[in-house]
Amino acid sequence: MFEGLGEKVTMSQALIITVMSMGIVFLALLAISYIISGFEKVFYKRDNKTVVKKDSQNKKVTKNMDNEKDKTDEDEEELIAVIAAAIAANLSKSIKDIKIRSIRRVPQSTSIWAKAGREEQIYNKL
Amino acid sequence: MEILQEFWTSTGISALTLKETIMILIACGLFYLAIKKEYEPYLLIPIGFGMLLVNLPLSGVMEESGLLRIIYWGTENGLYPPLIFLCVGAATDFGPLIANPKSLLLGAAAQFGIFFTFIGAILLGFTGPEAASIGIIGGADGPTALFLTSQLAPDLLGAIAVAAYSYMALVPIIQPPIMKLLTTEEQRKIKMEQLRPVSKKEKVIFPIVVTVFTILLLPSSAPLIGMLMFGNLIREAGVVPKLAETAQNSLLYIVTILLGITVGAKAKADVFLTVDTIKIVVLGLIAFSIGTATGLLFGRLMHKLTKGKVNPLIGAAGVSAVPMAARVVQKEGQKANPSNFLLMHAMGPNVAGVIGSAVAAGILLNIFG
Repeated sequence: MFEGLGEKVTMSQALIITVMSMGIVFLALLAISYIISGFEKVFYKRDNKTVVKKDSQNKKVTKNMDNEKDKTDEDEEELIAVIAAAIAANLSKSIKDIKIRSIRRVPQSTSIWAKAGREEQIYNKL
Repeated sequence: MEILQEFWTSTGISALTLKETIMILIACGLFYLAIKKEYEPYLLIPIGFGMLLVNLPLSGVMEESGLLRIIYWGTENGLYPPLIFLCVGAATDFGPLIANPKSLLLGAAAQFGIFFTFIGAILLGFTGPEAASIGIIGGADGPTALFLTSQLAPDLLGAIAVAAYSYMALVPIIQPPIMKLLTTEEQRKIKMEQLRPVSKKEKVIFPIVVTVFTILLLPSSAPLIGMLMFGNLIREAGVVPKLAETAQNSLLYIVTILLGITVGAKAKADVFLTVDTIKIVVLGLIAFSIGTATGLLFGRLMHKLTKGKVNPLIGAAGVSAVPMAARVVQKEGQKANPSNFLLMHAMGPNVAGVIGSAVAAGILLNIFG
């Protein structure tokens, strides 16, 4: 259709090129988008979502649990103390009033970009 | 006395013309922007220096077998821009795009700036291949613009490179007013759902699938898409960290130097100081603005279709300019709502814009090449 289209391009040709090209760009990316949507169905299983249960009535906070073979090279007691303090501070309650049943390590799920964004935000505030 | 005169005529000073002096001043202006203002210094310094060298009279750097002419071979034959694409691919995380495939459409919508400007350039009397090269500035992707221009209209390389990279540096100034104009405060405040995590398997398969599909559809996009996805595969495969590291660092900087200095060297006074250059600079700005605008408008459409789940601002990131455009979106979103984190959501359309402009370049190459 555009054989030998070179030096002179008329307005109508330019319009056709525009409509056609934008159409191809859209179609190509739409198709890729559908293919990737398929990825989600094939590869992504929603089973690895971790649930943080809160039972506020009994003033108990349960951080959900799965006794993963803990890497014991850290000082666990110290870690538990820190987590307890954080929960207490967050709930504005005394540590005495809350009970932690178990603690499970949740794998890192934020991407580097989100982390970078957060860090940038923090640095901007400093 | 005669010897003195001979020496005088052999110096560049005697041959220096007014136009060349102006070009030297422009080169110094680029140095100022790059060094003092830190606008895209990695590119503007090599481009500026190439410009400086080629406009010092009698240097012969761009003449047959001149130093820069030899290096320019790689630009002329479309070698360096795809190599840069390889490095960009190795540095890009397509995760946000895989997590939200719809953002590819925003990357497509923002390419309208290219074709709008293409029509504008035809109206201003440019030839087809020239108009295509000018339009591609709207793709806001340096290597794509240089690749297409080197193939279609090498004489415009200097002007287009300067326009494309200047506007990319100016994204934080150009985009916000358009964003404010085309979105409401309420829309800008919208927080978006967190993206799902993307598995390694998906990330590895993504470049392979995109390569096969896109190049089957549009063979002329092979140099750009092929290299981009090859770089990305190196990155995501995880078994060749040395290759990924080389591509992200050393190779990227080596090619940037070679590309930058030779692109600058195409800005010789008699080619650069013409009315055409001014037209290109103006058209480039239009291309950028229209691309941003159509991205935003498509963002609003998605906002409507998803019943308010999409923040239309992320559409503006559909013009590539990675990652600057995404950062601008993040900033504007945060201005409207301080607890808003749009960066990840904007990265999707942002990297989609790179694929989109590479596809657009492939189409234009197909038509005019």
